[in-house]
Amino acid sequence: MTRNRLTLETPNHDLSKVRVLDGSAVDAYLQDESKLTGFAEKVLVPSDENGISSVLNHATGNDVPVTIAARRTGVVGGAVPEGGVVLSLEYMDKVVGIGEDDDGFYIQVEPNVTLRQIDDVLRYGRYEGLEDLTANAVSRLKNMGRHLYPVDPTESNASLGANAACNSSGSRSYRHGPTRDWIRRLRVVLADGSVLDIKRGEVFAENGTFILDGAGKERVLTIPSYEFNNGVKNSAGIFVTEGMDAIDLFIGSEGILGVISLLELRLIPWRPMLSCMAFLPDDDAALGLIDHLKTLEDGPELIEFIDANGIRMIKEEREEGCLFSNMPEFPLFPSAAVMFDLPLDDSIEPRMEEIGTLLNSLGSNLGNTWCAHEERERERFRSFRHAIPEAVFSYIASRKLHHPQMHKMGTDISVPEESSGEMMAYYRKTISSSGLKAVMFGHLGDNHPHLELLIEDMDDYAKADNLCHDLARAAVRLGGCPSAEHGVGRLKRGYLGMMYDESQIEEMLGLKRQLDRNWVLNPRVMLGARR
Amino acid sequence: MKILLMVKQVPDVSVSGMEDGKVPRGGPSVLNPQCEYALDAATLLKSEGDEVIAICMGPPSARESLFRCLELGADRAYHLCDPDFAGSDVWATAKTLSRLVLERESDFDYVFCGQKAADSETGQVPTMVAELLGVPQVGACYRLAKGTGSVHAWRERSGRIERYELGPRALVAVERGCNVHRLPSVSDFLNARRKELTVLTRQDLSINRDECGLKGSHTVVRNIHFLSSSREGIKLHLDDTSCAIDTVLRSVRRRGQ
Repeated sequence: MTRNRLTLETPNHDLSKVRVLDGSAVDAYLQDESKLTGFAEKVLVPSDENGISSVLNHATGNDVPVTIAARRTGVVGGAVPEGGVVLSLEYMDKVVGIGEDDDGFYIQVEPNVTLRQIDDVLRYGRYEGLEDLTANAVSRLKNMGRHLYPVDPTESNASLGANAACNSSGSRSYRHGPTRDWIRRLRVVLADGSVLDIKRGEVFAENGTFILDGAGKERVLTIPSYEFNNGVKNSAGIFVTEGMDAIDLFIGSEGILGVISLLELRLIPWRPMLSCMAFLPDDDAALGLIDHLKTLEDGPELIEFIDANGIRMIKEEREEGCLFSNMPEFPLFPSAAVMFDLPLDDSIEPRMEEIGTLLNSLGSNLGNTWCAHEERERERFRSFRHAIPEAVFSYIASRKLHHPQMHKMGTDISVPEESSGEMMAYYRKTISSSGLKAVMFGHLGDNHPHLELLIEDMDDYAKADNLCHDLARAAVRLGGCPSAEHGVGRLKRGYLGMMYDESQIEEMLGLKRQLDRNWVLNPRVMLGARR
Repeated sequence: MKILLMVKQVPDVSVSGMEDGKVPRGGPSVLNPQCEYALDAATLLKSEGDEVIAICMGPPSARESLFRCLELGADRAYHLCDPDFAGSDVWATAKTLSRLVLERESDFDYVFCGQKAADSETGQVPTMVAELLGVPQVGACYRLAKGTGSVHAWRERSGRIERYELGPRALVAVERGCNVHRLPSVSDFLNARRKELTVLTRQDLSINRDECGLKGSHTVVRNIHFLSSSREGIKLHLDDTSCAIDTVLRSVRRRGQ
């Protein structure tokens, strides 16, 4: 038995159990949070893995494009169909069970389960009905105290299948890394309906190949040979490394190689944290605090930034609308803000006093820094942070009423630590010269802020498009990635050519052809139309 | 002015929901929302020389709610924490709380508390504490203000606003307040860690085992369920007013029998 052998399961197919939606029922499946709008003939809703397999086998046999959709919270149009059918995983939303191995506890979920559902189980101890995947795992987890799935891609209504498909990261990846690092097992349905069951640490590439072994037939799967940029947060292109684990091929592949039908995710023991939100006089002062926070040992789980424009937008929204209405007045305004958290242990006082001294030198103080340790209050901070992109989505949706072609324009750029200052200077210069309104927020701990452009009309839209491309090129030049966590989807296909040359893209196309000969799976996502 | 602030820690029902009328235990807990209103009222009334003392009976986790009180302006706190207090009903709770007051803080001016707790919703403890302390009380308040040697309390009843002026030695239960909870600053957090938080057990108070906890309780919760009405509504047409009134009267009389 070779180490690179992947065994294919070939289930019997039965389309009769798959629910079919057509006519006006399809309309609800044509958009995601990118606000792109697509079209499709039907929506197929399987209730289990066999249903997925049956749909894909039929689609491949009949050359029907399939767009995979779950909660449709993506922002790059990955779930927006361009013809064919939508494969909606909405019925596959069960938290299956708990297991335990040498690395600790893990949770098994269907692909449409959300972060919020996992949180409900782990935070409130709602273990009823969960299977013991290993002996007495559920009761053992109960006895071991609260655990946590540490990845937090902010959108708690996103599905975990989608998180895996674009290797989501979010705020806590500063300390815990992206989704990839927490997946121990995947079941993946391939385009022809066959199924792979891949456990981390069991199957590795040899000489750039895997062997697909199914129904007595073997075929070689050749993977790309390029060097994936792993030095920054990166969700652009297919992940490959020398001797890679087979499971990693499907994580971050945005559903173009297969459909994830089951996931197992590792858990860690929960520990109390103190969440803080420091308000500083301006963006530079906030960046100064971030630089300091990055130097702390056993430092924050997350370091998030909201620029002065973002704070101003929040204040205006709060006064006019319902978003942010549960937050008190800012202790300092105008201001920029930095959100971070630290372990709530004996070290907290000296650490905070040190941060206080720094804040004084930056024109603020600990009195201008909100803190929260109760769960409810920490959740308020989290909602507050998440309400910023929501406010942007809401703004773009209102403009789209007047300009139907418009969609969200923002960046998802990460750069290496040594280039962060240069990239920030470039942001400022280009935004200023474009004359566009923008807010910046996000994961500056990982040198990965999100810039969202508040475009008013199609002239702005064109300017914003140019600006985003310009920034993406600058990021690549500095060793960064223009699609750090959202994936490429449909909106950012143009960026792939900035990061990969023709031969490298041809290698990705070649991999897709080997696994999806009729190019039915998410055919317009990442790589574009069949070539 | 010395204000005693009686608070309770409850399951966070805003996120954990309820099933069959029961509040799930084991998830995160918070300071009871109406106690948070009382905390706001007490700390906003407080001026130079005044003192706010938070008191909470509950398991070790209740310390976190007392800590929130200290962060948001209380000066010191008592935590009544003893397995012997577990299972207290409203009477045993009121008796234990009032015993602490009489033995440790009998020179109080006012007692503030939330009208009722989000988990049990009995609303009886404030009244019982007032009786046991022998002080007048006003419940269901939504606004408090400091007078000259007094506290003004507003409440709304049957569409009318009532205002009371309370001299020292009175209890006020707060029902409503600002829904935007305050956020403490890190300075508040660090200061709170330096404030006095005294843990008291049953033996620290002269209270017998059979006066508190389950043994000191006069009531037992056998079951909790939602009340639902099985009666069907009757639709009456407005163009037949006199007939509608007769029908209503007949229906009321029939039910009254």
